[in-house]
Amino acid sequence: MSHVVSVVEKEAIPEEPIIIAGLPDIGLVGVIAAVHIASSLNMKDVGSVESDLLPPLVVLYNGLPKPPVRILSSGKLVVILSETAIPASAVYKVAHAIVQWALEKKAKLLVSIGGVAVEDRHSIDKPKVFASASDEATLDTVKGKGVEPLDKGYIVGPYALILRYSAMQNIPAISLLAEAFFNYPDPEAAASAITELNKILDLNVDVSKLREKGEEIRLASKDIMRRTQLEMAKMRKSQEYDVPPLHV
Amino acid sequence: MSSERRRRSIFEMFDEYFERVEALVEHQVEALMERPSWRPVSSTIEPLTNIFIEATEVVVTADIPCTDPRKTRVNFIDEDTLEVTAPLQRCVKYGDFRVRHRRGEFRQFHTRFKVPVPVEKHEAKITCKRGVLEVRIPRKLGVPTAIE
Repeated sequence: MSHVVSVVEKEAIPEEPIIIAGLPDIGLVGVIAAVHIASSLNMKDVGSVESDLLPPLVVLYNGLPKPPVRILSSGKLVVILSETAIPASAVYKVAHAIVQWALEKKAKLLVSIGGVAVEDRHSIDKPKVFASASDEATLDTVKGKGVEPLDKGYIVGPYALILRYSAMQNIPAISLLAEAFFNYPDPEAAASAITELNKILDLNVDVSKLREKGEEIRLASKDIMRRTQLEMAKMRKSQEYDVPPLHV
Repeated sequence: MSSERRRRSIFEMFDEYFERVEALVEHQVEALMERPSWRPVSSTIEPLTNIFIEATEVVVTADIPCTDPRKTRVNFIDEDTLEVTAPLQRCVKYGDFRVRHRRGEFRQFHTRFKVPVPVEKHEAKITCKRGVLEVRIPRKLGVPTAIE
């Protein structure tokens, strides 16, 4: 298993799934959203992402081990959820493995949920959500649902690679990025992202509990945020604040 | 050793030097991260924090959910050290997170900041919105040098 990332299916996952990736990133938006979606839809564990590039740990639930990067599903809706910061050195291979697996499963859509850091976040009541997509048709679909495109800028980290590799492999993929605190857990941003996801996928995931329990979620998520912060620094995540050069 | 040194260009030596400095900084940051942020002995939690040095002020923020802003205390304990204490609205235990093999309860957030540039500590402005504490402290600005 030397420096290889593999997606392991513990139970058969149907073809043509819609895959939602919730990886640790800005404001932990993806992780918080993925946990909420998985628990709201009573998803069950069906697999994991395995690699010796990931930290050597298990997450214990009721005394039993769970892998740090889990795959959960309910029908054709699949969530990839990481409960540990993805090391910067593993990001390329993890993103590549996820996209290759999506290709093998003939995924209908690969959705990454994340955050876009805004400095005045504490004065924003309802964080806006922006979208980018792997191809024009997918972006048009998302725009048709009323989600504003992230027109120009940098995305850095696993979601950047997922989007890039998906475009290369012709997999319809979108990144949903909610305005968020850079390195504080942001359940309100996760709630905004899910609200937009509901529109795109015709889901009905209730976000009221996420908003009510927001402060407790922030308290419980602070350690994974702290470790994610370190990995984001290694990825030069602050490049997302940069202005790209003029369009050619 | 000396012949090896002659073969390296000044640029290579600079590169090596910066790589060593970068590795050292990374190592120290990681060592800091390995320190537990839940401290049962003092019943405190170390919050997530940020510090920004702007042109005219220093902005310090801390994520302090589950606290009452009216009970949060921000003090300069000396010229360049800021201390933040924010009592939790209720006592939090490991068991609240279903962590049952550890004992300990937590009553407040507590942290200290070293402010890296001179500031006017008596003019600090403090706000707390959405459980994020923000302290804005004007910088002590020196006498500007005239451009000839």
